Amino acid sequence: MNLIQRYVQAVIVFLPAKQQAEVAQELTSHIMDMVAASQKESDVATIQILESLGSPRKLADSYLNRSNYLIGPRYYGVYSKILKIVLFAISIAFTVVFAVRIVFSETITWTTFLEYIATLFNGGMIGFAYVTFIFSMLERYEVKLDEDNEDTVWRVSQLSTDVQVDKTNLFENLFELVFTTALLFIINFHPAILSFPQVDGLSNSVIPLFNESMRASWIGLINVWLLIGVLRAIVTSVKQLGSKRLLYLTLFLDGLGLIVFLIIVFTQEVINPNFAAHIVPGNEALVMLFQRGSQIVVFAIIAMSVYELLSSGLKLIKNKHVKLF
Amino acid sequence: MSHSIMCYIGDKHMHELLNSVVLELRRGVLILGVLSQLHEKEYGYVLLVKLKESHFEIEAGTLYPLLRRLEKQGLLESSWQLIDNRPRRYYQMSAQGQMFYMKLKEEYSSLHETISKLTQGDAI
Repeated sequence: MNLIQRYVQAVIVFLPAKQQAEVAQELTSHIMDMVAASQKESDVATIQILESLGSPRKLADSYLNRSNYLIGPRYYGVYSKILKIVLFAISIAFTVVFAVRIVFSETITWTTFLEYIATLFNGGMIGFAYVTFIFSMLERYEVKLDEDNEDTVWRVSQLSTDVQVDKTNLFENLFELVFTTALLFIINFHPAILSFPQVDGLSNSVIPLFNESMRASWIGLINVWLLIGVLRAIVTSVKQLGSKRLLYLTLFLDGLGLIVFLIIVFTQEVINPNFAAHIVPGNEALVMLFQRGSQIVVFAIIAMSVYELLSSGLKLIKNKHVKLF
Repeated sequence: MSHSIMCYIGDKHMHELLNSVVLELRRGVLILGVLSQLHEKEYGYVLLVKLKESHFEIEAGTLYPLLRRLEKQGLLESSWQLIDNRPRRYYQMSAQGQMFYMKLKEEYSSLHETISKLTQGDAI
């Protein structure tokens, strides 16, 4: 294989298969024309011409007519904002968990602190990976945000209300993200934090809040439900920048979250049924109060989910005049 | 930092800035320059030489991908011909390309006129 063939091969290797043959033929023909027109020796001329064409990779990029961005300028502003929110929420959530561990732990060693730093780092990396992955997919498939849509006419009337709504939403999203991430982390790695310590004579024991004997049965569903919550908080933060497609995604996540939660409520026994009875043995009234309280919490979560679902649906109806793509 | 070094950094920065702006400016009129030479069938190498002779510098690595892009956009048509045992791809403006070229030329003339009026009073 001569130098020209090697160069052409190095260019077309980056191109789609259907373009390769034509580009190779045209490029070879061009290089040979240039060599023939040159007054210099064939080998010297070839080297000079190939060097003037530049790096095969760069030449291939020009043919591809797109920049090889993981996250391009169109999304970078939103990506950077969301990444900051996610990393902030993760650090707050893990710090809250660490603080709770310190309060309830009898022995605090350097290992506890190092574990916190390591968890913070891991959590940050996972958050970074998720956000980067989502935005790289948006970039890859060139999903347009509404602000990119040239047909959408921006009105001054949008200005004041949008800014106010943004501030409220930002706080709500941040809180949702922190709370859900912390809960996800506690349930999976430190369920003991949510257990009740009990001193029985000389031995210390804990009464778990969760139904540990059935853990394998409900942990997967709970994780799915909480991850939907995390994803919803991230999506809602993006939505503030005005993409209607993301509003549909929020609606879908709200619906999915509600369905998963209802499945958990009706098919699983997540809370330890003997939790109250162990804490206040013999006190039927308090046990009853705890059970009623649990039912109220479940009802409140369902009511909130339905409210969020309706609220997302209403926002979508209100913004019907905005073009989707 | 001495005064001469500061001047050097300032000049270097100015030079880089000018280069990048000139590059942007040239990029905008590249299509106009290329289309202007494709009323008749022409292949890449000759087109490149013609443009160079008219002092319209364009790299081969920019021209060939641009020709393919313009063809994909329907502004050019191409056909392969075997000349001196060498396959050559000839490009020519399509009917749509001709219309596009005329409109682009008008836009450029109007822009040129406006900029000329704006910069008329400048001391050179």
